[in-house]
Amino acid sequence: MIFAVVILPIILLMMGLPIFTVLMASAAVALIWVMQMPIGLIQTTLFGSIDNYNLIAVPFFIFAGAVMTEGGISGRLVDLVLSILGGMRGSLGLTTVGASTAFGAISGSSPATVAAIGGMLYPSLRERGYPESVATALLAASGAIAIIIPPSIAMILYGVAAEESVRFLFIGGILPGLLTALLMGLYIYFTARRLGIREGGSWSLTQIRTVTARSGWALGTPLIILGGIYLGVFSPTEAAGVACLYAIVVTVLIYRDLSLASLWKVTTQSIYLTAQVLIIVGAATLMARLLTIAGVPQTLIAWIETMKLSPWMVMLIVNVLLLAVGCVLDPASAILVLAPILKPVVVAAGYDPVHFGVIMTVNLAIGMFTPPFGLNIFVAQAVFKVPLPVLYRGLAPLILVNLLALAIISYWPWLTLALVHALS
Amino acid sequence: MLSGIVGAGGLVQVLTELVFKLIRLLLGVGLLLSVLLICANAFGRYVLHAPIIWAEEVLGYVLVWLVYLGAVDVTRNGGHLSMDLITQSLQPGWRRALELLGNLVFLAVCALIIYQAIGTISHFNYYSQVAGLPMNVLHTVIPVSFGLMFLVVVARCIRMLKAEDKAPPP
Repeated sequence: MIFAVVILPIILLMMGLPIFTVLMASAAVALIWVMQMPIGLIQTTLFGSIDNYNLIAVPFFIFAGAVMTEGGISGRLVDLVLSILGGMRGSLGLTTVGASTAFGAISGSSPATVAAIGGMLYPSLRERGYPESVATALLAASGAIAIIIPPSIAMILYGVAAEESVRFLFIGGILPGLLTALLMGLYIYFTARRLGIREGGSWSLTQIRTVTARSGWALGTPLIILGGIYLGVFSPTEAAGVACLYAIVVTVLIYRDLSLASLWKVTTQSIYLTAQVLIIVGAATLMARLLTIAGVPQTLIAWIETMKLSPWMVMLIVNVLLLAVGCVLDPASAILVLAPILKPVVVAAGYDPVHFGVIMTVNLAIGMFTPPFGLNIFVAQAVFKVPLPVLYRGLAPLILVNLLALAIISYWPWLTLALVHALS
Repeated sequence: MLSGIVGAGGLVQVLTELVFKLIRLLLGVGLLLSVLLICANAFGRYVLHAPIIWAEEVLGYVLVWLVYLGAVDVTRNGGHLSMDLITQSLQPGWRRALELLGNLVFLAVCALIIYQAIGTISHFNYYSQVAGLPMNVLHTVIPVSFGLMFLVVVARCIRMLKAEDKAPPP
């Protein structure tokens, strides 16, 4: 069994095989040769795991985010955040964090946020004196906030894999996401002071009013998504669908920034991205099911009980494991495979499953910009044409800032659960 | 255009393009209709107090088709999520050998899924609970998609082997 579920996946992963093939091949070996179960389980799992109401939100959020990026809404959000923060020291760096947070509230995709916000802000950051390493690292790390701030595709996948409420996960993610953004904002403020970056621009209420009026329709999307979900008007899936329709109406009919041909292109691209992520769900569900049948979570819980580990030590071990996994695996695959195994372990240690979903998401968000395999690093390298060592240098302090946020989120459950209890 | 289709290879290429265009059209329309359906369902529930009762069930099935048929396009573009940094750092010869071996594992997985799907689906003679759709038809998306992925990867393997034949001696 250990060969099928540990050694074989590692070998196949190292060979560069698609993650869904790695999981399918390993699960097939475990199913047929080790557990000798009926192979019809493959068909029903591949079909049934995707046929899930919560998962329908994934293509909708990807589609809404892509329509808004192509339709110029991200540009309007950047202008709005810049007009609010314009008078402060480090304003453009803070705008990067703020705009990534705002964009994360409509997109839910980390690499898309790096490409969209970075494409707009990188030249200005360099012009205003931010060193290459600081500017690129800030963009790569800020993009990761997108998967913590709801709506988050990572949280939808956790909700599906761990059978938890996606709505509660979204509500739980608000304050941890804002805390992460706040700590990164403080870091960039003090970095700008240290580097002596003096940015021009002044704070003017008239300008804020003008920009807000210009981007008023754009702001409707986060209001529909977040307001709809938090007030209980829509389920996350319905909110995602309504956000798609709203984004299409605003970008095609009101702003007229998106042609019908571009809308079709965005539609097919969104399906491509959806298939890329969700094809893993079927194989990961099969693998997780086999691990559960084989009693792996129970074995882990029994091991922790014999080791007499205190809850905080269990969480520390889980955090280190998730950080390590996040450095080599994308968040979707990591969540789908590990959530069903780790959830019973942390719940047995006394943690709330929604709290753990947020912790897992924050961990894997850090993995998105942690060397050597963080996806945002490669997006940043490709978009900004920056050498990796330069990028790594800038990332080091940002990783530390995010680890601080992770520690606070992990050991202060109130931050995640206060809003969940208030709004449930 | 006809002059372009000289041999069987040309015809295969034209047919392949046609199949992928049809898949994209089917899935694109599927996504746009899904958006309209979920909005209509929300509108029906809140405004007309008459939700579309089959909406959730049908949306789930549309998603299954989006994912598996969409994955054929992903396979064709070599776009599946993977951890390929280690293979990228290898010598070209080793890399090609590992790529070929990886493709063979991929083919074996596709073959297994097609084999078990045919055996399992033939016993499905029931209908979905609300919309009354035949489940055996809905489930065919899995053998069809993995069959197409199988063909895409076979074509890739042939291209790789042909390129190896034509490669100049080291």
